[in-house]
Amino acid sequence: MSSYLIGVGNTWAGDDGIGPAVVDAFQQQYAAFCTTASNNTLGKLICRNHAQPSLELIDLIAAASQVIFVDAVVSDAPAGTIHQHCWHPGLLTQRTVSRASSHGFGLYEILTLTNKLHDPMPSVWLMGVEAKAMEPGSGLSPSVAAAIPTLIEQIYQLTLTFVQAKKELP
Amino acid sequence: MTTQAVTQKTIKVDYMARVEGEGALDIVTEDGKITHLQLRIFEPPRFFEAFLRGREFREAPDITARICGICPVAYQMSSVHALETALGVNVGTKIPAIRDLRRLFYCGEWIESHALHVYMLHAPDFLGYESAISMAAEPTLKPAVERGLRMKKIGNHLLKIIGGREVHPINPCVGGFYQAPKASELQALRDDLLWGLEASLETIAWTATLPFPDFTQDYEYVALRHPDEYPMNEGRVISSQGLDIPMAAYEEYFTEEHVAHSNALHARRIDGGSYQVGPLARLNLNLDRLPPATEKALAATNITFPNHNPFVSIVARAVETALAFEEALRIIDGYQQPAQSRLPLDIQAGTGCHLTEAPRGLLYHHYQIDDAGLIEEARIWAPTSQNLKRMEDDLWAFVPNVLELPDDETTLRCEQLVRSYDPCISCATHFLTLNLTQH
Repeated sequence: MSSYLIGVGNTWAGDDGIGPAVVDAFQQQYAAFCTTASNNTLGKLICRNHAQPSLELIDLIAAASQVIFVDAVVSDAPAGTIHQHCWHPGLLTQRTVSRASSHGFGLYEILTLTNKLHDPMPSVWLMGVEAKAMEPGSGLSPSVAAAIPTLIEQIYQLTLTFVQAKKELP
Repeated sequence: MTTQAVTQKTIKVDYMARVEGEGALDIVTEDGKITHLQLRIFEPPRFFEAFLRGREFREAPDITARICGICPVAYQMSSVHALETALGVNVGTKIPAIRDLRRLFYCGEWIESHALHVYMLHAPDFLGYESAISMAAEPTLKPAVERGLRMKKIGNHLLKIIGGREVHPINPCVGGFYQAPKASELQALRDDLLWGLEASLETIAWTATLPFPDFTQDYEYVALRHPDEYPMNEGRVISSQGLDIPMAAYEEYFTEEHVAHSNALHARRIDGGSYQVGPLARLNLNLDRLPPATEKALAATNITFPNHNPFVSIVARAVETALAFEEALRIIDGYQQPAQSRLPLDIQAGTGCHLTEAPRGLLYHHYQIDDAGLIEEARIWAPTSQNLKRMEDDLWAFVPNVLELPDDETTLRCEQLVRSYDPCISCATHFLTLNLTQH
């Protein structure tokens, strides 16, 4: 059973790139915890980035012991606000735009479908940062980028929780 | 003097699920007759042809692959063949293993694209479910969803082995492939492909039992036709109305034109109207090119082909999925890694065009390059663009049949008809809105 940290977002769409930015920064700060390999992962947090969720994540989630997703969030909160939730059915709602695309599936679709196909689900955490602008182009808004250090610390604390609960990480 | 009351009814669906495209469908009826029907495509133009001008010809497969995340292989295969024509080389003749590898590559794309559409996008319409997610919650249908997902995964894996990655592969190039896979890498897929073949044969039987709306049209089907095999990368362009032309003559018989309500061009016959490309057209025109197991599975159903019901396209996709698995096994069993994975190319000025069979139908590429190898002109006709006018024609004929149904059922049937074409509107868009107004 493996533990994953997965950044979701398009690094060429402004603040949508916050997920990959956080995962990259986490790997730099806690290199000893992290790996990008898919084998020999005992005691490691497997780190990945996805421009958008894909169906391949279903098997990955089903085979994992825990997964942390980091993604951009759009709600009424101020830009840079950090969100942290343990996923459960009903936490996310179906977004009309994402459900409309036949080429891409949103986290709602991926997690809900995984839950329908695989029981029990592993521990899945959703970490997010409220986005300000997701226009074409690279780079994060200052208020969004400023959330990265705090979010990394929260992910580290969450990882320690996994360690204590599962005794998988060093 | 009497006054007749007019009943006005409006049906509006903000987002139509399970199609790819940014547009809207507007229908207005009066006294049961359609007075206005437009499939409006407002997805902004993406200017890929303009991006290509001035670029070195070797960049075309990688740039055009970005047009679509589901069918990048189609864009790569149409571009490399068209550019090889412009350069005056025939790679498949000189390195037969590359020809086989390109066909195997296409098998992977058909598998992943068709499995997605059959199980995740179109089947819910026939079974009365809102989505594949709700299908998966039904114990009797959960195995079908799992089967579709596993088939798609195998197709994606095949793309990764040959193309370097599942989406927007990086290994194909003008002249062949940057690197040819080892025979052992492909042989390692054999067990999965054998499972996939059995699963896809079951899929043919499964789709054939779905309830199809009673609707047929007098279509002109257009597809490639090859002397020996079911078409993917090669062949002549034929139609159900007797057309039989080389690819180089395509623009003499077909044209694309702008219509005011659509940012995606509408294709039509130069001397006529709409036509249909895609799995139903391919199968109707190539029934005698099916490999044995696929042919036997289709014959065991109660669906007859040629078939002129667009909703039956889900069966055609299932047939082509099985064909792709069967072909993949055949190619892998005979494959040996070539000593040379690509031909060296002598750059020269030239013009070339080529069509290949994308999952959604014919994909046309035309290039003109100068003596430095820079692209001077590029034209790309996507399958959905070629089917758009046909979709509108279908809706004109179909809507009167379903106007008496409850509003949500009318809407669903219109959506289902559009989804029969598996449209990828501009090959990268987001949603289709349906506004149906009845007076």
